[in-house]
Order: sequence, then structure tokens, then C-alpha cells
Amino acid sequence: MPRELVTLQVGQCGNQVGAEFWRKLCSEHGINNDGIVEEWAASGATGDRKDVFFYQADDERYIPRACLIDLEPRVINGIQNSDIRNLFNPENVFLSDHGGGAGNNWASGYSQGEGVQEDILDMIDREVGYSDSLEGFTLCHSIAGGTGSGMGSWLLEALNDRFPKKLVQTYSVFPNQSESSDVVVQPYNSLLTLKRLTLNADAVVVLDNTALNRIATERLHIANPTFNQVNSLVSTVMAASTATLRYPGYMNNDLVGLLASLIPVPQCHFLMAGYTPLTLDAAEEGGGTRAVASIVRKTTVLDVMRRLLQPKNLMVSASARAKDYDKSKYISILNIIQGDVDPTQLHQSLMRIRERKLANFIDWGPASIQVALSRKSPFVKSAHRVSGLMLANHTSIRHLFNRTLSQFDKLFKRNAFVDNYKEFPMFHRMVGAKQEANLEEFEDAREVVAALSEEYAAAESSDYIDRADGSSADLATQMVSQLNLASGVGDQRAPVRAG
Amino acid sequence: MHAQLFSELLLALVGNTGEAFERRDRMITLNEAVVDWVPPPERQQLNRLAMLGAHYIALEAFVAALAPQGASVRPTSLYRMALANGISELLDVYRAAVLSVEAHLLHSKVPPPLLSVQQFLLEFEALLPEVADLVSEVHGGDLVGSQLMRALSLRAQSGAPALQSCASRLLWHCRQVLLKQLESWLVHGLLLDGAGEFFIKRRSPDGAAAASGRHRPGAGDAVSPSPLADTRPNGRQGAGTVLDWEPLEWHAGFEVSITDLPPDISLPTAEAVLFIGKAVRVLKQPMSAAASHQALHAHAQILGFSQALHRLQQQEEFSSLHFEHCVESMRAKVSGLLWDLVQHRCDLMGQFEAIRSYFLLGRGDFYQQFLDESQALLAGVPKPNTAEADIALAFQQAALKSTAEHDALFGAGTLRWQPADPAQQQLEADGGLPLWHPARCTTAFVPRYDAWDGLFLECSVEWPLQLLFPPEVMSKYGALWQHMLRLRRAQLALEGAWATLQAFQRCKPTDDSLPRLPAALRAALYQERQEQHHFVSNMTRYLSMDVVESSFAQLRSAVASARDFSAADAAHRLYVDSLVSQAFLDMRQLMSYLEDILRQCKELCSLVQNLAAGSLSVEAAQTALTGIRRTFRLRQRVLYQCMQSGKLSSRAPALRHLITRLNFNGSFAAGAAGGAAA
Repeated sequence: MPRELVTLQVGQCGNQVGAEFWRKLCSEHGINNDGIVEEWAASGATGDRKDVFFYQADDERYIPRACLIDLEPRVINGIQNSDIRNLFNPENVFLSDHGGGAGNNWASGYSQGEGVQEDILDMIDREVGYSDSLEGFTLCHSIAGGTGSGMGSWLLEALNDRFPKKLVQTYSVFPNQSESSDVVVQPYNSLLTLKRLTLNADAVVVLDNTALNRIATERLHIANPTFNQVNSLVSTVMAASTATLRYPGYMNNDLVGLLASLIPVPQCHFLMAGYTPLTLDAAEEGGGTRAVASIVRKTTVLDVMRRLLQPKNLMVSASARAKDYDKSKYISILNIIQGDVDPTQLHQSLMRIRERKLANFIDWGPASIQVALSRKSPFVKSAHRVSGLMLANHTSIRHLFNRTLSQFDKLFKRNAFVDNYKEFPMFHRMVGAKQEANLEEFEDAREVVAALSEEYAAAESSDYIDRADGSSADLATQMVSQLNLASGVGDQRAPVRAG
Repeated sequence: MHAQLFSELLLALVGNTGEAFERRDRMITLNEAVVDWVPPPERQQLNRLAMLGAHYIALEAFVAALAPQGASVRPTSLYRMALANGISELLDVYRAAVLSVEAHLLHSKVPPPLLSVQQFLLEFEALLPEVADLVSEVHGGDLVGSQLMRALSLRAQSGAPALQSCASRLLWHCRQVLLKQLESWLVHGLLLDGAGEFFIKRRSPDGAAAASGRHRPGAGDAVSPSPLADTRPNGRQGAGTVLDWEPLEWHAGFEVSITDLPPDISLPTAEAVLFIGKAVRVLKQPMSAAASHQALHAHAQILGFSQALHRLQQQEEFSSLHFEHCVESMRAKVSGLLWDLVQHRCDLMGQFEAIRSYFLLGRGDFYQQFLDESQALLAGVPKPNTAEADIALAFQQAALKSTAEHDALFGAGTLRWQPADPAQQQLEADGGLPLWHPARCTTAFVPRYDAWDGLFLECSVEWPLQLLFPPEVMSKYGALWQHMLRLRRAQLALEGAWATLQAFQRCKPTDDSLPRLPAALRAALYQERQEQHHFVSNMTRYLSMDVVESSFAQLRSAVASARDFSAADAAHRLYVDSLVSQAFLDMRQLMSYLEDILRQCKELCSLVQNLAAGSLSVEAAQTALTGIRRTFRLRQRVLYQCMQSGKLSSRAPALRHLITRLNFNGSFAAGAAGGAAA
């Protein structure tokens, strides 16, 4: 029972995405909706590992190592009434007593998390107890709402405290920044969550709703993509990024092996995901012939690798990447290619990409396109011979943070909607008997995210390492000292390097 | 001339001297004391004729000595017996000639002139001395087997027609023996060779020891340390008369003895003969009989060989062209039969895949698990008495917890450990180390890693697949395994270091479980780790994707298109050799740089560990890190220059693959250039 991963799905989005993910995993491993391995999948050695994500109950059923957490019952009830209602361990479902949700308020989610910490940590402890050598946690959530962002943030900190040596990877859905949202405090929630993602997570796979919607409309030709269709994209990425853990090959058979080469600089751990060929089961069912006809079926290794480098296949919005795109650089790339691959083509493809300079890499350290080959599930029929996932550490992601920062600034300048937050202990202090707003948390989070963006910007220049080596006080050192003053404690977790 | 003298002469001609002729020193001459009336010219003629008698005696003695007679001390040379047969045939003719002389004498009223008698025996005057000469050469030089045949074939090229045809005839007799031996070997897989004359021999059990330069006195009396010795009937006596097949026989049981190679059989043909015989031995195994219709088919085919050999036997003149053609067609047939057997009996591709899974680390999750299980063990120093058992336990445990659990072929492999002390190894190489041990592979220089370098994988391949996995191939696999495992260990250690550094990074100020590190040191550690990890992981990626996977695809198609055993065997050997060469294991210089690089990786990892354990001060860590970084960069630069140098142009394609990976964003080359400038 090796290198297990416990999945925590928090909030509405997290649970929807999570449910899709488990559905996908079950179909890939031939597990039916009740957790029983189908007869046709049970025979002999399929060479897959179910034990990373599932454990077996006494009756041989496969139970996902997953905790379903939400503050309002709608989505989880939906799962419990759906065809996969018997899949999850009912003990691993947490719903708040009042069922009122977090009202899209980060602070509410966070403090509700604190309030029920015993229940939740007990649940996680029990889940951890089922594993032999737990490797870490996977969190799926969105960063814009209340529960996924607020309670997710609290959970990240709590995991850090309780399991300091375990890895934490998140699949974080970023809000659609291009259109006005019904959640007006989205920039606040995002920023506060980003601080935790920066400080308390080892790796964050960024899934940008803007890009997901764009992919659904432009690439899959779905006029008004539903949640399910978008979630299906997310779960495809999640399933593909865990392919080497479940269908082991030569290497990348544990999370450390996947992440260690992707994240050379600890702060820069926000990964973009790209996937090709982009088709959805949903698209093929609902999109009709037009969608199917538009899909190109030629999938050689080179095609797949080249398409993965195209911005339109990335699940981070183009607006974030358009700016200064020429200057931005790849810090690392990992391609997980599944299917029927001729290994001799691999080198040729790498050469071709290098010759045509399709990927612009950093020059302050070694970097390359790492390719991991993985088998495809024998139980899922696909029209494509080869499919590929790219996880890339790209400096242009800072524009996404900058956009969050500027939207935050717009609101914060006017102190808009701050009152919603002031009710919660983190955002006020008592002066005598009177409550007074304490917005240091906002400022602190802003510093952290700004420093993160700076770090990515710095990584674009070739003297990045020399800068870090130099003991003279540079920008980063100045900033960290400010930060220390601001937060009151010498916060060593700050994402900047200082002497 | 007296009639009486003639009868004396006739008797003397068949070796019986009377009064008139006397025997002295292997000569028969006219006794001048008795026969004093013969004039000198005639006396000379008589003496010349009488010499035939002397030769006759010698030849007769030769024939008589070789007549079958009870048990002799030494097994009689079959070729000499054949020669004796031939000679006695010749002597028959000679006796007939002498008889005809007698008849002639009796018929003529007056004693005929001596010359007319001489005329009857003219042919023999040329032949007998030559043959007697041959016989004394055979005796004197103790010629047997192929030497004897060579001596004969030399004479068969004589210009004198009588001599030539006589020698050919004698050669024919010897060749009958050869053909019998061939038949026995080719059709039945048995060595019919009491005197050790056949050009195929059982390899003596101490062959391996002899090869390593140690002389073993008195072969056959001491207990040999070789693993082959236990079941093997010893040495030359009764060699191979019993069809007892042992696992290693195919690879080490028999050999072509070049000194015993008869004239007009070339070495390649001899090798083919060796192959056929070995294959026949395999095919005749009861184990092969499971598929009865197949076995019957095989037996019928093999029996067909004897007809072909009989046809050869009937030919008066030996044609090596015919022979070679015959052998080649047999080889093709047998090879096909063997291939049927291998294919029918077992899943060959499955076996190759299992070897790839375990020897070439294809089953990554299993090795991941194994290195996890044994992490604590491998971090320490092996205890000579328990190391092997401990590590083997971890190996088995890992199988239970990974996909190897369902793999039937996992059980074939056993993890072994022996101290990697070079002095000891040298000692053991003489006798103790099995033939398939990686240390036996003298062309591979596997970079050393740590005290656990003595680990090696033992694999028992199911019969009859063993035929395709000879010890020398297994030793190459073993070397590849050691190399890849060491790289993998370095890679995992570096990944572990990353996880530890992450814990440092996220560590809260209130948490005392980890010591404080200055951010600059942390960043430098991250940076150095990244560079090393990039190097090592790309090296492993290169090995697994560009080398193993690509070559394996070729092997798969070669085996799929193979129609006989030899083709599959050749494809497999090519595959293993190309793995070794693309891994650059045969390049000592390159491997020694790699060894230095791996050592730096190990030092960095232990540095991070010591920091985490709090047993190293920050200052000491900084100094150590500077040293590690300097050495690592230096070695990497030298390695790069070495790869770029023209010396390795023969490896250019493989090197290009590796460099593409290492130098994808140009930093590898930039480091080399920058270092050169500095």
C-alpha cells in the first residue's frame, strides 16, 4: 500500500470536480459505481495500481481515499443521490450542521473550518490511518467562493501543522476574471486563498475558468458550457496527471518524482496544465457531428508535444499569457504521454521542438521537456492513439496573479464589502469593548502574492541565481523585512529569499 | 637363379625369413654367408625386394596391435583402427600380389628372371615404404584423430597416382569413423569418442577456472569448484555417452576443439555441427516431449539427418562443399525445430518483458517500493552476515506491495549480495562467482555508488528459455541492472532531498522539529539539487526511453519476424550489446566521471539529511555545498567535453540523444563553456 494520496474535495466546485474525477478513475480501472471491480477487469494482471487512490474494504469493494467536505448540502446530496452514491465512505462526508454554506465569504469559510476542525481532522486522521506510507494530500477546490477558498485555506494551514512532512498538491480552479461575476468579493477571496496556496502548498495546478470556458466554446464548440462539461475537462487533467502513479512505468511513480523536477524554486510552484487532444465524452454526445468533425485525429508524439505547447490548449487564460509573452519562460515542463507511443519518435520530437524553439526556457539553470510515457487504461475506448498532458511551470502565470492583485486593489481602495469580513475574528480586534476592523490579513496576503509575482518576474532574467546568491540587500530582502514588520512575527515561510 | 631362393624370397616378402634372408634392424637382407653365389647387382635387387617384407612386418604389427582385444589401458584410437583396417586391406592386396608371383613362378618351367618378379611388385615398392613411413610417423608422433587425418590428406595430395589413391583410400577409412561420430552426434546428440579424437568435446569442468588463468593439476581427481562439476561425468572418459542434460550444458557443456578439427572442415561448419548436436540433445530431452506431435515431427526430421550422412558416407571422394551444404541444411532445420519448441513451450516475449521489468527497472513502481522498503537498510553499512537476507526480504516485501504481486515471472529473480571488496572479488572470480555474475562481464565498468554495490540480481530462467539466456548475456544484464539501480537510487535520494527541502521551506517558526536555515543556503541547496537531479533524471530517462524502450521495440519486431532459433538468439545478443554500448558502460573514462558525479549527488543528499537532523552547522554546510558544487560542475564539464570530443564519434547517435536531453535549454553546454573560460 504505497505512496498513497488522500483527496480532499472542498466546497461546491471541489466536490463537483472531485466526483467527476472519481468517476473517471473508476472507469479507467474498471471499477463499477458500487466500488466493485467489473468482471472483465478483474482478470489477472492489468498492471495498474488502484491502491494509490483506493483502499479495499472488508468486502473487497474499492473505496476512494477521499473526504467530501462542504458547508452546504446541495452538491454532496447530489452526489449521494447519483449513480455513484455507494462509492464513497459515508463517514468521509462532512456537511455543516446548519447547511447554510459560507455565503461566498472567505472569512466565513475559514472560521467555520476552524470551528469544526476536530471533526474534519478526525476524519482526515482516520483516512490517513488506512494508508501504509501516505505520501500526501490532494485538495480540489475553487479559490473564488466561500467554502473552497476559505475552508480550503484553513485546511491547507491545518494540514501543514498536522502533517508537516507530507506533500500537499492542489487543483485550484481560478475564477473567470474576464467577465463580471455574481460573486463581487471574488478578488478578496482569491487573494486570501492565494496566500495559503503560496505558503502552504507544495504544488498548485492552476485551472483557470476563463480558459476552461474558452476551450469549451472555441475548441469543443459548445455554445453554453455547463458545469459538468467544464468539470469534465478538469477531471481529465486530474486523471492524466496521476496516470504515472496509477499505470506505473520507469519513473515518476510517486508524487515527489512528479513534482521534484517541476519545482526547482520552492515559491514557484504554480503549474499550468495543457491537454490534447481535447474532446469530451460530453462533447461527443451533446456537441453533435460538428464538434466531432472538427477534431483532428492525427496524434503522433511530435503532434501531441507541439500542440501541448500551443497556448490555446492551456487551461490558463490567454489574457494572462499574452502580455510580455516573449519574455516569459518555461522553468520546467513535464509531459505525460499516454497511449501507443513509438519510443524512437521521442528523441526526434524533442529535437524538432528544440530546433524550432517552440519552448522558451529559463537560462539560469538546466531545464528540459521531461517526457513520461504511461499506459492507457485498457478499459476506456478512445479514438485517439495518443493523448498528452503537459504540466508546465511558466513565468507568465504571474500575470494571472497581477490581475488578481489589481482587481483586489480596485475593491480594497474603496474598502468595498470589507464589512462582510469584519464580522470574523481574523479581521477585527477588540479595542476595549468595541470591534475595530483589522485588515492586516488583506495587506499581508497582498504582500505575499505580490512577492510571488515578483519572484516569477525575476525568474525570467538570466541573473536570477546570482541575485539570490548575492548577500547584499536586494529587493527581496527589503520586502521580507517589511513583511516581518507587518505581520509581527518573523515569518520564515515568506516566499522570498533573504539572507 | 635357384627356385629355392625364389620360395625363400616369397616367404620373406610376407615377412617370414628363412635361411637365405635374415632380419636385422627392421631390414630384411640377403644372408651373404649362406647365399654367396648371387652376383652383387642381383643381390641388390633381391635386397630391394626383401625390404617389402620388412615393411610388411611393420605394417602387420601395426594392424595386429590394433586388433580388438579385451580391455586395454587406454581407449584405442578409432582413427588408428580405421587406418589399420585400411592397411590390412592394402596388405590383402599385397598378399594377393605375392600369391600371384608364386603362381607365376610355379607355372613357369624355368625360374624367370628376377626382373619379372620385381615387375609384379613394382607398385608396392612405391606404396609399402610410404605407408610404413606413415605408420612409423603415426607411432612416433603418437598421432590420433585429426592429426592422423591431416597426415593422410597430405599424402593424398601426392603426385604419384598409386600413392595418391592409396592415401585417399586410407583417408576414406578414417573418414568413415568421422562420419560415424558425426552421425552419433548430429542424430543422437551423443559423443562416440572414447579416445577424445572428435572435434567436439565436452568442456572440461575446470574450463572456467583454466580460462581465468589458474592451472588445476591432475584434471579429474580433485573436486572442482565450478558449479558445473557436481553433476557432470568427468572429463574425457565416457564423455557424453549418456544423454543427461543439465541447465548450463547448452552454454558451457561442449566446445569445438580447434586442434582436433579434421582437414577440410572449416571452423564455421564445425560450430554449426556443435550447434546441431547441442540442439538435438535439447530436442531429445524428455522435457521437450510434452508436445507429442511436435516431438514426433522433430524426431522424424532428425532421423532424416542420418540418411543425408549415409549418402555422404557412400561417396568415394569427400566433398567439403557437399558436407557444408548438408550441415547447413541440418542447422536450419534444427534451429527451426528449436524455435518451435521455445515458442510452443513458453512465452518468449513475456520472458523478455520480465527481464526488462526487473533487470532494466521497467517495473518502476516495484523498484520504487523496494527502495522505499530498504531505505533504512541501504542508508547503513551492510552487515556481512545478514545483509543478503535483509535485502532479499525487502525485495520480496516490495513485490507484495506493487504490481509485481501479480507477475508470475517475478519469482524467477532473487536479489543477492556479496561484499564488493575488489580483492575478495578477484579471489572469488576464480571459482566462487557464477558465470552470469555481472563481475564476469569484463567489458562493463559500472560506476560505484556505495557500500551496497555488491548487490546483484540472480535470475533462473525456465527451461528451455535458458538457451537464449547464456551466462555471458546474463552477466551483461546484471551489469546494466547494477548501473540503472545505482542511478535510480541517486535519483530517488535527490527527490527525497527535495521533499526535505520543501519541509524546511514550509516549516513554521514555532516548529522546532527542523533547524533554521538561512534563506540563501536554502536557495543554494535547491539550485544545486535541481542541477544534479536534472542530470541524473535525464540520464535515467535517456536510458529507459531512448535506450531500453527503443531497443526493445526493435527486439520485439526482430523476434516476431524470426523464423528460427539462431535468428532470435542473434537478435537478442544484438539487443543486449546495444544496451551496454548505448549506456556507455564499456567506456571506462566516461563511467569514472559519472561515478564522481553520482558521488556528489550522494554527498548533497546526506548534507541535506544532516541539516534536517541538526547534526551539521550552517557554516559547515555552506562550505560543504561549495565543494560539492565545484566538483559537480567540474565533472559535468569534463563529461560534456568528453562527449563532444571526436574520440567518441562511433557513439555519436547515442551521445546525441543523451546530450539533447541534458542540454535542452543550452545550460549544459553553457556551463561547460563558462567553466572553460573561467
